[in-house]
Amino acid sequence: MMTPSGPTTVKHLNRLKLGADGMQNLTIFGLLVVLIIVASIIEPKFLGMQNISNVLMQISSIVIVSSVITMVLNTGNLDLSVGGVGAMAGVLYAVFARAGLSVPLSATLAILSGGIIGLSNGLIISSFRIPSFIVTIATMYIARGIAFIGAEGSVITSGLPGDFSNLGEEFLGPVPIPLIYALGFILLFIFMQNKTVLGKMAYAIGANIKTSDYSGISVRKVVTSIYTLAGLAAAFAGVVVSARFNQADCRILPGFEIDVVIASVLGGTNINGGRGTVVGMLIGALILGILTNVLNMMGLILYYQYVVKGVLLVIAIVYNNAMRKAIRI
Amino acid sequence: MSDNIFEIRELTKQFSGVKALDDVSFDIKRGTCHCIVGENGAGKSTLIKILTGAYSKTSGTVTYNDKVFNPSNTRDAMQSGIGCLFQELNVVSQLRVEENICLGIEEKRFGILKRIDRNSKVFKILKRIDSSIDPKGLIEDLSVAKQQVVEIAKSLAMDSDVIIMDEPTAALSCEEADHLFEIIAELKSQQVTVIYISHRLDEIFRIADFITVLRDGKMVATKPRKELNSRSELIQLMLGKIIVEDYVPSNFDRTKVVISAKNVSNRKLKNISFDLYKGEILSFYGLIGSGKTEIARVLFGLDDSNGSIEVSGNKKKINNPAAAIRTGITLVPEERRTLGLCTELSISANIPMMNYSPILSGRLVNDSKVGKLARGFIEKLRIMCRNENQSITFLSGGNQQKVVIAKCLNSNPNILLLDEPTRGVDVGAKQEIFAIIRELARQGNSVVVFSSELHEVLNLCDRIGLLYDGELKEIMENNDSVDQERIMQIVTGGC
Repeated sequence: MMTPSGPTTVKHLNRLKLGADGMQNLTIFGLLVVLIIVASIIEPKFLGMQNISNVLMQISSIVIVSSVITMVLNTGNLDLSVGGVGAMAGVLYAVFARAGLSVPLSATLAILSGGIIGLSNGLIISSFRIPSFIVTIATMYIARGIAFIGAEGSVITSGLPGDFSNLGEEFLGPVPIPLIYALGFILLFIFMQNKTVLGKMAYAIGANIKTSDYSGISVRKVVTSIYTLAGLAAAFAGVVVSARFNQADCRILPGFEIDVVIASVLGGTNINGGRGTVVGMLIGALILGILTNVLNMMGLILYYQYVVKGVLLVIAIVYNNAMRKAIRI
Repeated sequence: MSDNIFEIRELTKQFSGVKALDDVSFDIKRGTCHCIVGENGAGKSTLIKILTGAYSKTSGTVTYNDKVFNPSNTRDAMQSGIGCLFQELNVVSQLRVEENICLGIEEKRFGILKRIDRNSKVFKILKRIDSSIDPKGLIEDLSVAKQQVVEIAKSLAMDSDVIIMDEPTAALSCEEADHLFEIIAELKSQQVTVIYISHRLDEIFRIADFITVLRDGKMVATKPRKELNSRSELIQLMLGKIIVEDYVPSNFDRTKVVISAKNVSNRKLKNISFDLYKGEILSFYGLIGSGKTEIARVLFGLDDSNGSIEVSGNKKKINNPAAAIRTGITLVPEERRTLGLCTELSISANIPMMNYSPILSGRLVNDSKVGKLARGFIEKLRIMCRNENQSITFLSGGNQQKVVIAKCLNSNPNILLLDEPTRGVDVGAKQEIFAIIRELARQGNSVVVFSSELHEVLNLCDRIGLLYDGELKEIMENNDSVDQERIMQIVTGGC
């Protein structure tokens, strides 16, 4: 009657562990390898140090924010405000710095402003149980609006202190600092997902919110905390972008909210919640970055890239569903 | 045309190495009511899903009306004449009855719907089976029973000669079930075959012409009902062994009160007062809508109420499940799949949901403790699974329920509330769950069982509270002199 013990169980166990998220990660990892091979055949410059560094820099913002967004998606929610919040924080950073506040203080305040938007998102969504996409569309407008107001619809370039760009331009050895940030976020959120009760509760809420209520899990606390983290991360990404270009543009991070979702979903995150890992997201972000890079090198202008990304998102969602049906564990 | 509408031969269905159906062969005679019984996981639903085109078979043949039958999807099966009445109804609740019965069979001209023709066949059929249903009424205003009638009418309008009914009486009252049985008799008289699946053996003895018993994916027997003498003979075929464990009165301590409820009232409840003693199994018995679930919800902090509830002498109000769990109260909810479990997650992810501390080292999750906790409960409650990483979806109903119980026990409760703990659970698992509950009471925990099955209440509980329309009519001791007829009278509002 019982499960047989001994070697057979161990064998099953290994197969199962690979079965769930591992199978999916392995498949997309395969896809990534194929993409790299194809890219290097089409474009020999692709494997150059300079280009690889470019790709990584381009996806660093996505990786920073998508680490948190993967957890937001785990709870069965979306956050479409991250692009707007990034722009808002990037502009506020410049506004504060230009007004004479020190750079560290300006950066801190700008990042906290993103945290406030995230906190509001979380409280509204979890207290009133309103669909997250509509709440975060509203806050996306609010944040983007603040960015436009702060930069007067344009770009703040003058009056910034000399150390304004340090946050984004420095190197750690040969490695540009934004890559270090991205790595830090990945490690932090792999840890959050696997080692904290918050991470486990996020999965449970996304898998079944009613069961979570009935189990005494404080859905409000968990969802609000994760949204606050998402707001902080988005604002941090915006500040880093402003620092890197030594200016604050209210139009930065266009379509960012969709890019972070594409990275997560490509990485096997279930759009309905309950499933998805930060490791998978990293692979997804790399695929997204390489694809954009190749399209750029092939001379395809931005407009075509939207079409490609849209198609990619649809394929990723359909593929995830198919995988979930195929893996019966 | 032969006598047999279905001839099933050596039918096998495999899921990644597990045989859900193993070499099953039997015939279904035209115009009969053919019941399929078996424990959960015996292969009943797999068989039904093959007949309705939801699954494709691995090997074997199915002949339907003398032709080899291989439906490619459910629509295909429906169009060849197989109607289906599932547990969860297929009706769209915001539509009118007439719109609903025309759904999927509506006549089109150039892709545009024709006006609903109220003289068409489907309306005539609906009127004939149940003239009280107004075609212009909204579906959501109808009772589950009447919604089923609408579904049956729809199947008949599509010229179905087979109607498969999967646990159709689960949500019906006695009278509604009686009406359904009359409809089944009428269907038979018109040479429509009914394939009927139910856990309720009384029903099966009442309506079956033939009974097929499945066990572990194999066919044990197909017999005319007349050849079966008693319920226990059927149970014996289903289980392959007899489990009889009748109620033994326990000596719980009547001086130690753990819950004292006084005049608890809310929208659904009227002045409920009772004491729960340490180590007893108390039950609330009543029909659907009598207030059982509502009492459970109040005690677990899900609903508000007036009146006082003292838990272990503490008058502090319990406002949410987290507070209830901290006080030592836990709830196995009525609907395990929607309220009790995260079905997509693994066993080991579900078990700690009420209390994460056993899987922590310091403040961090320790993976080896996660596995150890789950394996402990799997062994203790005899949860049948491949291992603790298996997803809940692929467990049988009884094993899913055991995971819910494990999740609740992990919160270290001393008061367990169980709402319909064995609903939709097979006979064997039912006995095991009874044994688990008895053992918990023996260890000094207090248990409240909310049930609409008298058999369950009489077999398990020390005292029985009878509910009718939100009122607690009486609390009686469970002993040999319990008058079942009187209980039925009280809970149906008879006195």
